[in-house]
Amino acid sequence: MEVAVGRRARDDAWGPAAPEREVVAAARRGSRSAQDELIRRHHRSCVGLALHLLSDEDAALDAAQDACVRALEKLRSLKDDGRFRPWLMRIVVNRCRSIRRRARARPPEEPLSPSLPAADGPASDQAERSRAVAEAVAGLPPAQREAVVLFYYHGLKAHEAADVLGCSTAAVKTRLFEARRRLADDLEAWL
Amino acid sequence: MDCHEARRELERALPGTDRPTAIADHLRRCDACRVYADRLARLDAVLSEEGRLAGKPDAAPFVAAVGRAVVGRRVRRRAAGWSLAAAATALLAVGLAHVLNRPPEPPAPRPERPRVIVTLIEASSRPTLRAEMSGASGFVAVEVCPARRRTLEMAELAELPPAL
Repeated sequence: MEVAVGRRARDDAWGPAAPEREVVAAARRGSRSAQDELIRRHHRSCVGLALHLLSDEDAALDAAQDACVRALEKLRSLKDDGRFRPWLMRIVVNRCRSIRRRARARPPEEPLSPSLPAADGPASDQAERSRAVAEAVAGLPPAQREAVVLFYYHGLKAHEAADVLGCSTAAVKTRLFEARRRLADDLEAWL
Repeated sequence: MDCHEARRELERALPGTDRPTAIADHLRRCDACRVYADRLARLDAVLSEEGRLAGKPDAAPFVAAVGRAVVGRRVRRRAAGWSLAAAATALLAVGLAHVLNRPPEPPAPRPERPRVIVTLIEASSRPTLRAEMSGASGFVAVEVCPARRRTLEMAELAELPPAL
């Protein structure tokens, strides 16, 4: 039997309708079901963010998984249960930064976009544009790329992106301003 | 507001924010800037749309992998904790056994107070003291003033400094 909030009668069974704060609190208490539910809710953001920051599907999956594991382990250090998502995204960003630092010597790999439509048929224009955008974003300096990915791809506001990136809102706005100028030039053909 | 200022402001304005009246007025008057503003709006739209197209990985394997990693790390950490505790206990036991089974040591020899044996030599007109300190070899001759010879008792001599 399920209760109104989506939590089942059994204490350690959590569903998608359960309020985030309660799930986070239960996960902190060690509920495996709550931990799984948290990851289920946010894995797409984590993998998407890592993929856009690293431009490598395998590395992005590893980074996202590692970030989720770390987040669950360090859940006790989360001050506000209602801010789990930006906190988790910050861990993902930091993990990606650390991977990028290690791989700095290597040349950047071709950006990947796993859900791109096939190159044939009417969707090919869309695929071409997606590829062009992915390449243009991947060609941005890392700080600008982080700001663009969080602001446009993940729909964060400037101050939320600043929170995730650990910088000021003004810095995020400046990065977005510079990135937009550059992207407008790079994507001229698609605008 | 001229075109340069207007475009600069347009670039700075993030999507979703209201345009200042001055820019809106300028855009009404200037076709070129209006085209520029539309281009920026299309860029914002394209970028936002690409975000929605981003990868949608399957949740189940990801959640399972994270769960396995968390459990694995927990087990490893617990095992490491137990290993550490076992090693510490073993070390403690060995130390305790060593302390308890140690053969009784003979009492440490108390440092012997050096004894000074002094002999008054009166063979000549200038009597000398001949002193010998236990544990050391050698003799030191000390001249004794003839006037003090009579008062020089053995007890006094025994308190001569060990430098003798």
